[in-house]
Amino acid sequence: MRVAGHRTLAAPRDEVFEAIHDPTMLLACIPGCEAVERVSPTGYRAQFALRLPSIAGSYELSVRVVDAIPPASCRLDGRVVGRPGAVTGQATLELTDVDGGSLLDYTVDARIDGPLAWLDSTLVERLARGILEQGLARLDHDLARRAMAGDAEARP
Amino acid sequence: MSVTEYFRPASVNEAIELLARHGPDLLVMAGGTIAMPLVNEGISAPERVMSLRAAGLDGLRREPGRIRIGAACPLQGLLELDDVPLLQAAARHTGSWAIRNMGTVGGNLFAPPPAGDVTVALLALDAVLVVAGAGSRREIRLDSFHTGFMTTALGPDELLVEIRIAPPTGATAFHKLGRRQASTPAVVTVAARAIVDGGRVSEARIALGAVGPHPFRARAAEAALTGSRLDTASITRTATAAVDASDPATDGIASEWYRRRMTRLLVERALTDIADRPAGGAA
Repeated sequence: MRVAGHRTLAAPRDEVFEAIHDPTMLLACIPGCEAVERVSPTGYRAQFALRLPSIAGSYELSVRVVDAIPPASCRLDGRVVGRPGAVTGQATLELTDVDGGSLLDYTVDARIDGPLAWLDSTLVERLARGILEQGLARLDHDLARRAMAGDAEARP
Repeated sequence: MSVTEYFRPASVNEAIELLARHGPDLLVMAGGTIAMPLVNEGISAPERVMSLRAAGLDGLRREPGRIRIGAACPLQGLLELDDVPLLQAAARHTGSWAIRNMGTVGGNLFAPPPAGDVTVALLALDAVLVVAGAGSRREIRLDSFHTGFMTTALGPDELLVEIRIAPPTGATAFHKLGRRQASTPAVVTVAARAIVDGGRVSEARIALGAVGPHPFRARAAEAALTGSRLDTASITRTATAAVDASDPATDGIASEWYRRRMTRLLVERALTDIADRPAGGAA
């Protein structure tokens, strides 16, 4: 499965990089994320409850930062495990400066295992894309809010 | 892995309590026509299942100025609504007899595209949803309910309890194209409603299904139609706006290309139907 796309975020590249390079912030943007913990210098684990119609359940996500070139790109290895199966893959995130913020290009290559793989692959792909887009919308929102809070308190 | 507990709450409050107690691991099931195939195939493997069958949500009530449809009202129930031909047509084109007897109106709102034909009709009727959580009750407009593919604005502890519509004003039309006449997922589904006042459209609703991550209103198309005389030029313009608003996917039913072509055709057909009988409401 491959999901690729892009989104413009209203924050400078180094701020976005800091956020995506720190999976505690990135993972917290996943809809339904309940807890994020750091398990090693580059490893993170998150629990999230996704309320999908007909496929109830909690999922555990582990992420490891494998490569980071600040503030341009970042590569993550990840694995999501839940009752309906597992998704294992790699995500490449690239950032470029654009007017009014930065452009985030993402590519996710993943393998689906377990009963989930029996579903129409379009369905899992669209689901993954939907979750990613919602997560990025939230990230954008969080970045904007942080910037506003920063301005208000006049922090450097 | 198999179901270890099966709950059959006798009231909405009991259902909400169970949802609060068991959280996201509880599979909420109304008619089961979406959930059961997934459970049987082993894709969904819930430990706990809650059926809404006895929770008192299957009613269909008429009140002055509104119709209240219980979330677990069978799709078949919509066929009683002689004054809402749009919903009758949508129900008639959803699944088979067996599916319509089991499947529910509320469940249809959660059906992933290309399913969810009744939802498309409900969008054109400005439906409002009533959702209940522990000690809370709120209304969500259907056009802001879906947040993405298979995701909704429903909170983790909330339950959809009712769908409300007003008896429709204006003329309506429903068109669905599938790979066969009946019991088929959609290539595209179109529900349209227009109020024509003094020869011009004063209000328009154009809802599309199976050509996006969820059923949606093509607002640019509605704007293109509003104020027009429902002539060929405005119908063509509206259909173009509807195609532009769609974001279809290629799947086992149809290609993205074909879906776009058929979106244009079906929107044109629906509006031509309305133009031919602006006073009537038959779908």
